[in-house]
Amino acid sequence: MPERRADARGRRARTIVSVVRDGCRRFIARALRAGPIPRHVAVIMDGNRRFACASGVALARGHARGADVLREACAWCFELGVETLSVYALSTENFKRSERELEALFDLACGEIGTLIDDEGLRLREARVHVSGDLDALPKRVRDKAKEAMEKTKDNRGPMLNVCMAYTGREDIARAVMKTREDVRGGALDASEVDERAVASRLHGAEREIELGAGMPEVDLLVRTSGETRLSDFMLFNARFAKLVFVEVLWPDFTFMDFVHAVWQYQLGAKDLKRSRQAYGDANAIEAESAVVAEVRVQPGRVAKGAKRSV
Amino acid sequence: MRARASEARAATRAAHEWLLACTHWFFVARAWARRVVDATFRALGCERFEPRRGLRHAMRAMNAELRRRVGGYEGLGGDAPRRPPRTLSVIATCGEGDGDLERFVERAVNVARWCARCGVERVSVYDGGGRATTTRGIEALREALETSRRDREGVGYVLRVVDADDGGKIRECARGASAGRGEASIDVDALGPRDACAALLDAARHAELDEGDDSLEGAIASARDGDGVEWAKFKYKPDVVRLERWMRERGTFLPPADVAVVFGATFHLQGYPPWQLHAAELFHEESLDRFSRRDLARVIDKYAKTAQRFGK
Repeated sequence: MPERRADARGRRARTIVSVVRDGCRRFIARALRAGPIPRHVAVIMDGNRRFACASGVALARGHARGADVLREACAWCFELGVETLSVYALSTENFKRSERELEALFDLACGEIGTLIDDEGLRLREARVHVSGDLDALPKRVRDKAKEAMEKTKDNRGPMLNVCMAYTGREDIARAVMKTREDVRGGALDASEVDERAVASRLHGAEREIELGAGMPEVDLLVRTSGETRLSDFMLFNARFAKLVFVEVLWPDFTFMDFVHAVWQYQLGAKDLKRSRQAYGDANAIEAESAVVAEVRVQPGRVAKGAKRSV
Repeated sequence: MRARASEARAATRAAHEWLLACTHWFFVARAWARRVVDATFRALGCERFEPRRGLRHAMRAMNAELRRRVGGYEGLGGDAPRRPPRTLSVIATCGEGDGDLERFVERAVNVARWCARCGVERVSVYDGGGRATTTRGIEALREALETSRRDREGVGYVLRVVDADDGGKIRECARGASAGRGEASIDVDALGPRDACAALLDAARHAELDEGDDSLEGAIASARDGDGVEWAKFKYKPDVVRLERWMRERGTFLPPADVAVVFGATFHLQGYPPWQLHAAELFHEESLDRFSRRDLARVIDKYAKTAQRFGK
């Protein structure tokens, strides 16, 4: 009996803590929305293996913990009003790892993609799942799961979770350049019309966005955990004007406050980023993507039609 | 009623501004607290527990070390280069004032000269505003390099520019042999926004990239067959290889940067040529004007000690 009472007290305490924590998060998110919010956040989820080594557990446990944090990060981003969250799950360079680790990663990917499809939070927000990368390089079970996730969420109109697997930035650019070249040769595009937008519209994920009537937004904020200060061939074309934030914490230790810190740093530099884009656009005679400060408060998980973010 | 509504709105705005200010001071205090903890760990000789990654991580690492003393532990591997970078990129934006271009050019040439002394072979100077790649800017760069060669340390140079109107071809526009005490020489590329994607757009317009490379295709085929698995164990990235080969043949290929130093209040790449930064170590400095030789030595030292696993 006393044990049951202790259990009940423990459960009640945990419920109170989580209610208070969620309330604080919503409050902070609301405060952040008073400033510019990045439309597209890209994350290099680095540090799972170092977390596992530091904790003395198997590497697979580190990756699993990283997957848990990814689900939480989706909730943080979409609640704040981020439209696209891109994550670097697996690079083609990672194929150099041991077969055992790769098998564990592919098993985890299958499980996690399945979890994402059924995730209540993502479903409420009508989030779309897109898997970018060379899917043919992945095992059939992962490829099928990725296609299933994209198929099931293709009609959703909410924010997008863009999972990059078997992906590198240079392959993405090379593929987009080749597709553009094919279209020029086939007559679908004139050589004089080939510009950065034409190539950008053929990058991974962009075609899907164009079907929905909008281009894939450029990355506004790129976060890398674990203290490494490299892009590691991620989103090279898309992140040319992104605010770069390199944090020392490992990905499994990444918390809501670390995310808030990154967004806050973006807000501090938003004007510089806009000026930089403008200068680049002027130099290239491209109409820079301009945005208007929106006073519309976007409800969590929904993108108001016509609402834009100040950059 | 309207007055009450506008008062309420003003009060809400004030509350949000107050909260943002509190958030700002929270993060400032947190950064200082982390520095204090980091310094304490270092003073106690415990920096291997990496407190900079958070106290939880440090506690976990201490715990794991106790366990590891019993069993063996293999690190993640990866080697630090232990040499200076071969190519270094300077990413900054020249101001629009009258004396800004000369100052920008002078500082950039200083960095190039120091790099030559440290063993760096190539420096790419990127001006996000594009002023340094105008005719006047190139001439100023050439003059500054020549002055540096004649008057200070005798560092030789080769100055190259990208011709964005000719598909991004890289042309040599000035050269000066090294003189004086040292034999050091440096290759300097002057880049601007128009050069960032010139080579890629040229490839998209004109490249013939689908001509098969028998040796490359054979290598891919044998990798798939030999392993007997349904997916390729290692991607040879044929698209990347073909595109790079085409760019090299056209003379539009810029070598990838080992290190990129970004100057400015906000850490962002300012539209720098994306292809070149895929494996670069990125460093952020507030101002090119205040960047000294010692700061460059610190950057190069950090690069030399940073382990790179390249995906492994």
